[in-house]
Amino acid sequence: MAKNSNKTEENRNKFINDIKQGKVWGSYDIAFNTVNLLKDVIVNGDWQTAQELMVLITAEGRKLTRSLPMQASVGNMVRRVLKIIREEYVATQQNKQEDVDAQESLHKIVTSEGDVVDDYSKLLPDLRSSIMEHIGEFEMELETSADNIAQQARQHIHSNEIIMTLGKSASVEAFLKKAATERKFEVIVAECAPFCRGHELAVSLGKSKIETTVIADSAIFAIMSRVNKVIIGTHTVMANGGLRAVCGSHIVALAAKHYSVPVIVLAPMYKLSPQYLCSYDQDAFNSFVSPEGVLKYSDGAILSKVHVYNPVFDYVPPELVTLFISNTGGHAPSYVYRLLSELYHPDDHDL
Amino acid sequence: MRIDGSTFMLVLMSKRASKGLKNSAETLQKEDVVQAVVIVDSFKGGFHPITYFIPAALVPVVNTPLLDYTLEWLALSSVQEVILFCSSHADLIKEHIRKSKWNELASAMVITVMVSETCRSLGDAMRDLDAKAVIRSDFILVFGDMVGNVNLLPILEHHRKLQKQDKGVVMTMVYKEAGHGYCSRSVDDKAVLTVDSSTGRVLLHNKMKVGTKRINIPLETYSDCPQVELRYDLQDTHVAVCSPAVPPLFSDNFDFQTRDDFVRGLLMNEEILGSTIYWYKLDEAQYAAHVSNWQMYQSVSHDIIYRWVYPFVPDSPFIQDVEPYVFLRHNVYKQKSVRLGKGCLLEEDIVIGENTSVGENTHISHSVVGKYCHIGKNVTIYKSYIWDNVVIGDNCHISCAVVGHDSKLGTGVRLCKGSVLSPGVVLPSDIHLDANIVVCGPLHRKQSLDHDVYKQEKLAEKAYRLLLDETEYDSEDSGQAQKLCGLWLGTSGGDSESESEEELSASNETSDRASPVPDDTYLFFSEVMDSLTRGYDDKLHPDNLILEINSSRYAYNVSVREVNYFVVKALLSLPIQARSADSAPKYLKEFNKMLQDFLPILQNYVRNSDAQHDCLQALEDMASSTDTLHDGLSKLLHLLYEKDILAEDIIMKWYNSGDENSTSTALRKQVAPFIQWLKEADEESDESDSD
Repeated sequence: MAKNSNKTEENRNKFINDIKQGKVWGSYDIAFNTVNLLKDVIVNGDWQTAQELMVLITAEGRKLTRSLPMQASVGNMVRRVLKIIREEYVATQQNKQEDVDAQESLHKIVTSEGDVVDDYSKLLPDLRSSIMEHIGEFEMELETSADNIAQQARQHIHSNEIIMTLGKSASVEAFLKKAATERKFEVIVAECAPFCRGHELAVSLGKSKIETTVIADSAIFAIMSRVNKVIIGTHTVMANGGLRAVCGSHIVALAAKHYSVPVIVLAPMYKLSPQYLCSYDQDAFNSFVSPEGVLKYSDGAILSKVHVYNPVFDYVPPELVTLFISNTGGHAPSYVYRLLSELYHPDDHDL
Repeated sequence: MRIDGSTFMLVLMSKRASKGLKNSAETLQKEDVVQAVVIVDSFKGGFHPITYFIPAALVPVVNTPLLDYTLEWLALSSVQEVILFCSSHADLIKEHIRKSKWNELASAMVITVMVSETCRSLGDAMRDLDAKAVIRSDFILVFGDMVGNVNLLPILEHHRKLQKQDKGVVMTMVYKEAGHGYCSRSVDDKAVLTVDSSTGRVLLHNKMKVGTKRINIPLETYSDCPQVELRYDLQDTHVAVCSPAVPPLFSDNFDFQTRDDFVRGLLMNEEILGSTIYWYKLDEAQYAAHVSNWQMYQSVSHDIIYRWVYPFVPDSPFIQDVEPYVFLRHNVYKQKSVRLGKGCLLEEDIVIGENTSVGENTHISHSVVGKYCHIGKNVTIYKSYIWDNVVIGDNCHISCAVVGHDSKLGTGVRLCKGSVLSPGVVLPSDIHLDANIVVCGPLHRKQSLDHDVYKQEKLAEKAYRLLLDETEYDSEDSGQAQKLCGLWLGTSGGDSESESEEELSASNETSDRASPVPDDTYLFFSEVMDSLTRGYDDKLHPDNLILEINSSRYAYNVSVREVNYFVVKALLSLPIQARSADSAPKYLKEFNKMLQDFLPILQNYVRNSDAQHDCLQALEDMASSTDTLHDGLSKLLHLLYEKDILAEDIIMKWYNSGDENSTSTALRKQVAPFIQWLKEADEESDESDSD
């Protein structure tokens, strides 16, 4: 048994190290690997009842989120797996009961509140296999999510439109390329200094024969009046529908608001997080990296005289977002709370 | 499972085959194990005498021991095997490793601890490594007290690429560009690097000692190369990638003690040894520094707080068993469990560790406070480093100081200007310390080894102040003296906040100036002092003394003007040394008495106007450093004027030539009555002439 937990620990450490070393990159890979880790716990872990399993998963999730506080998709995946366990438990239990009375009347659903509160401690023999099956389906959903989003491209991008985006987001890239197979349109990419990932996106779009212009971040407002739509990716969708997105998103969203340009955010379901923004200060929301991109270390004497901040994220309030496009379709920011209650169980919001 | 994991990784990697760098890293890993040698003892004693109690590698920088930074960094660079080489305090290091996460089975990095008690230098360590034959391929050589976030694999790759072009390459040294005026370059490491800019081969490596003004570059260094680069803007990171040939080279050459010896030896005997050295410039986003002394301690702490070392910042969870800090505006990092009293002010650039409590109306800025500390009410902490479990009483004032683990400070203690308290010191109330080192118990001779230049003064049961032992201290130990009193934590006085950072950078420059007496002239000065003291005591004839001084002048190769300057300086300091001339009148009396014997000497040296200028310069320097002289300056000038040593116009010229700084204007003010008198006398004489 010790051997198993050691192996899990080894895998977890490797996963954390890979993320820190930048070998695993992008929220999809991180989400995918997290699910794999959790699957490992389910298969090899020492548990009998759903409750024990949930304790195991929560513990694992807590360790992961503590080591990777900035990767919201890790926590989301843990919550998702917990929800799956709960669902499967209820389902298998109901299957048993259904043998007794197969009919499920409306009356029963309404009055069934009493036995929903369950401590998940009953022994169910085929729980493990049914959970794994459900997770398998969920993994399929993960894998196809990027594709599903891209499929909706033609509903949102029309001919001869001018689209603005910023930085580099894998979903936006796929979305635009998909649209380009059928329609002709123009893309303006804000470079998103100091990391300038916008350059990479522009090169990639250029290769796909999309008419692309790179602009400096300072030109966003000036250009916005010509733009028909803003399409951006995001790092996380907060519980209120706000975004934690790459630094610069807020300016783009504000400029778009000023010119009444719709802002469309591509967010696969695994980016939905039940966390709220608790303060506009930096604690636990933003991440600040080395100030290198802003000021050079070789600049000398000035370094000790100034504070230089290099934030990675911006908070974009929900009222600046027009539409979320997830793998299940388009949603308004005000609908996010509903999605959350479908995806996660309220007891799991705090890991 | 491990194999599963790695194959899974490979699948992932091939999925994203376009990432060139990562692929190369992967192939590198497959070729062989990446080894790193960590020399835990830096052998330089920059933290002396703290290093009697804990090894330099366990000195906490921003509340984390240096060794943890080093190991985390190596792990982040995918180093798989680490050889820790310890000499002193090996048991503490072993204990630390045993308790750390590296000891867990799941750790991806294997750490081997090697102990050699007799090891005194890097050279010894390398010879030991050679004897034990543990090096299999190119390895990364770092010290145990380093902070960095450099990805080492590309450097290793670069080294291997160089090996393909040049069979003789044995070492790639890593440098970082650091601008002038920033404090991150250690004074010990200032060097001019001469490199062939087309290949990156190091041609010359000139250490710039304090006070060095020129270097020689032989013609042949740049006669062969089309393009030579001279760099003086580099920070030596002390990271090097070495070929397996390095340990044998150390074995073959017993005079290689430090890395500098090695570099110099190799460059000098390039043809004989057939080995070459290259350099590698870190790109902008990467950081590495060797915390070798208090100056570097301060600047690296600063860089960590200012996040240059990202991801190794306090709010990132890189040390797993420590709750990450919360990062607030103005670079304030604090843990959730910190208790702050009413009205206490955390200004900026502050780190406060877990379970520390801060009393009411306490003011903290630019400081690091460890965990489980208790800070009283109305305390001011400025630019200081408080380690763990420290208790600070009410109304203390701590600026530019280091307070070691488990220390206790009574109420009203003042620590200023680079005081260092070693771990475990207990200071009673109302003690004032100024640039002092305090240790918790008497140091035994065995511990202090060859550094016996300290005198110890007992302040309390568990507080001994270390002082320089004047009798044993001679100029050869000037380095030692710097270690004791320099301490770099804001050496130039005045701890007003407006000066704060300027003071830091200025302290660097003043350090160049403050100990500007280059070795030879300093020796000459002490020689003159000796001669004069002896001459005064034994009533030697002035002519003989002049002869003696002149001969030492030739022995130390000192210029005429310097001779004038130092002779006057020595004469002026003689009364202070000889008797207890603690007030200006007493001093003048003493000086007058001495002048009866030594007037011929003065007359001999101070002959022309240049010499008189030197004489005045010496007077000014002495007066600004000694109070008694400062008070009696105008009298002294008068005396010298009367003895016809100084001419009136020279004095006037000197009086009018003052710099802008405060001390010299204060001096000018001090002598103003005398000058006034001079002027009047002059006018009178003019008038009498005209009459």
